[in-house]
Amino acid sequence: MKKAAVNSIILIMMQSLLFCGTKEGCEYFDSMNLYFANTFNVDLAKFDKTKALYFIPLESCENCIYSNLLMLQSVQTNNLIIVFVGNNYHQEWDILIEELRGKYNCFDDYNKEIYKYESGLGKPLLLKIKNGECLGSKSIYENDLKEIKNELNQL
Amino acid sequence: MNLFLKYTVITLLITSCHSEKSELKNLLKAPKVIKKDSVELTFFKNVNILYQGSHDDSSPFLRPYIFNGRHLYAMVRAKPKNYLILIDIEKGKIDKKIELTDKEILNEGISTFYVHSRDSIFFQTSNTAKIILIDSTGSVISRFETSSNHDFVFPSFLPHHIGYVDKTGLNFYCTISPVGFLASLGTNDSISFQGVYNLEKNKWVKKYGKLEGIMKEKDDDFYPPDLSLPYNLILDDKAFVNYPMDHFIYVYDLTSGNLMTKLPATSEKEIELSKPLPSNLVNDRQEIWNFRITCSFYEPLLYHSDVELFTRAIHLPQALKTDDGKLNSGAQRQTILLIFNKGMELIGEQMFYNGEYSIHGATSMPNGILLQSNTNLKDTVRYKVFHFNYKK
Repeated sequence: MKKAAVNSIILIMMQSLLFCGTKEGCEYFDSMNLYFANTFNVDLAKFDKTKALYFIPLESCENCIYSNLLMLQSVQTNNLIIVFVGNNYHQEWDILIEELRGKYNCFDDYNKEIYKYESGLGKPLLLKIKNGECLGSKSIYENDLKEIKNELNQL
Repeated sequence: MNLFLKYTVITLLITSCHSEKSELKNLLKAPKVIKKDSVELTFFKNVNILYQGSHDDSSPFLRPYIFNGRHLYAMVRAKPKNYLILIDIEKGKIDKKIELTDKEILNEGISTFYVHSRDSIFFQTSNTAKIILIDSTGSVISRFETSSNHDFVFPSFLPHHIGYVDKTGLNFYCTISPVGFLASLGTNDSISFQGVYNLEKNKWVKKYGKLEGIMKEKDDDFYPPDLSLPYNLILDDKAFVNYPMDHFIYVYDLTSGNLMTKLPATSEKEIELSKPLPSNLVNDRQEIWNFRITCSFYEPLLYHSDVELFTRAIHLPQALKTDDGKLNSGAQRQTILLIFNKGMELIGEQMFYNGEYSIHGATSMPNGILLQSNTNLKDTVRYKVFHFNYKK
C-alpha cells in the first residue's frame, strides 16, 4: 500500500517535470515580444544565436544600478544587448553608459514603455533568448553579479 | 480519547482560523453609510504652466505641495542636480527655482517635503531617517538625525508621506516604517507607525498608531508596498490615520497617543476591497504591480481649511489589460471623490471618469483641489482647479 502511494507520487512528479509548460522566468515572454515589436520595431525571433537581453531601469535604486553598469563594463561577449529604461539623471554615469553603448547593441526606452507590458522588471533583469524562444529570465540582485558576469562571459 | 483530543484541537484550530478570515472578509466590505448630499466639487479653471521639456504622459513636477493656497512647490528631476520649483498657480507662472545643494537631499532622489514657511522647508531622508531643514535659497539650516540605531525609515520616497510641523514650530509629525516592514509587508501589530519628533529637544516625544483594521487582520498576506503604509493627517490635537486599503479613518488623540475612535469614510455605493496577496508572492514584482493595476484603493485623506471639509478619493477596480495586450494605464479608470464634513459625515460624492482623477494626482487646496491633468501638452504642464459649492 505504502509502496503504491510512493510510486504514485513519483509518477506525478515526473509528469509535472515533463509537462511543465513554461521555463523559469518565461511566463511574460509573449508580452516581451509585444514590447519589442511595438517599442523598437524589433522581432525577437530574428536573433538566431543565444542573446542576453539586459534591462537596466536607470531611475531605480542608485547603488544597484551603478554596480550593474560596472559589471557590464567588464564583461566580454558579443551576444549582449542592453535595454536602458528611463533616463540617466546621474552625470557621473555618463561616461560609463557611453562606453557600454560603444561596446554593445543598446536600446533606449526613455518613456519607460516597458511598464505597459508584463515583464517582471523591478530590479535589473536578464532575459536569454534563442531563435525567438525564451531560455529563461531572472531579476539580478547585487549578490548575483559575480555569477552573472561569468554567465555572460560564456555566451 | 487520544483521537477525541486530536479532533478537538484540529476543530478549534480550523474555527479560529475561520473567524480571523471572516473578520478580514467583513472589513474588506465597505460599511453602510448614508449620504447627506449637499456639497459638490465643480471645475473652476485650468492652470497651464509653460515648461520646456515636459511631455504628454507624465508631469515633470513631482511631489506637488501647495503653500498658502497659491504657491505650488514641486521637485524636478534634472541633471546635474534635482531642484525645487515654485509656481504661482494664480498666474500660472514659475516664480522661482530653488537649487538643492545638500548632498544628503540630492542622494535621496525624489522625496516628499513639507513647506512650513517660505524659509522653512523640511525634507526627510528615507534610509538614514534624517529631517533636513532648508531655507528659500536651498541652504541647510538644521539637520536632525532621528534614528541613530537605524530601527525605522521614513517612507518619504512614496508620494503623500509628507511630514508636518505644528504652529509652535517645535513638533514634527510623520509616518515611520520599521526596518524590514517594506520587505516582508506582513502584519506587525506591536510597532507604532506614527511619530512626533521634538525639533528643540532633538528627540522623539511620542510614537503611536499601531496597525489597525485590515492591515492588522491580514496576517502574513500582503498588499503592495505603497498601499501598505498608513497616511496621517494632523488637525488641531488629533491625528487622522488612514490606510489605502481600509474604509475607516482612525482618529488619535495627540496628547495621549491613544486611538479615540474609528470612523467610516467611504462611499454609499457597495465597494469591496481586494483580499491581500499571499505571502509567497512578496518578491514577485509583476504580480504585485498587476494587483495594483486591478484593485480599488483609497488616496490619502485631505483637509480643506477654508471650507472645513475633508475629501478622500477611491479608485475603482479595472481590467488588467486593454484590448491591445498592454497593461491597463488607467486611462479609463473611474474614481469616486468623497466629501465629508468635519464630523466625517458623507456630504457629497462625485464620479470622475477616464482617469481624470489620476493616481496621486490631487493636491489639497484650502477651498478645493488642484488636479494634475492626464493630458499634458508638449512644453506645457496642465492642472485643473476644482472648488467646493453647495448644491442648489
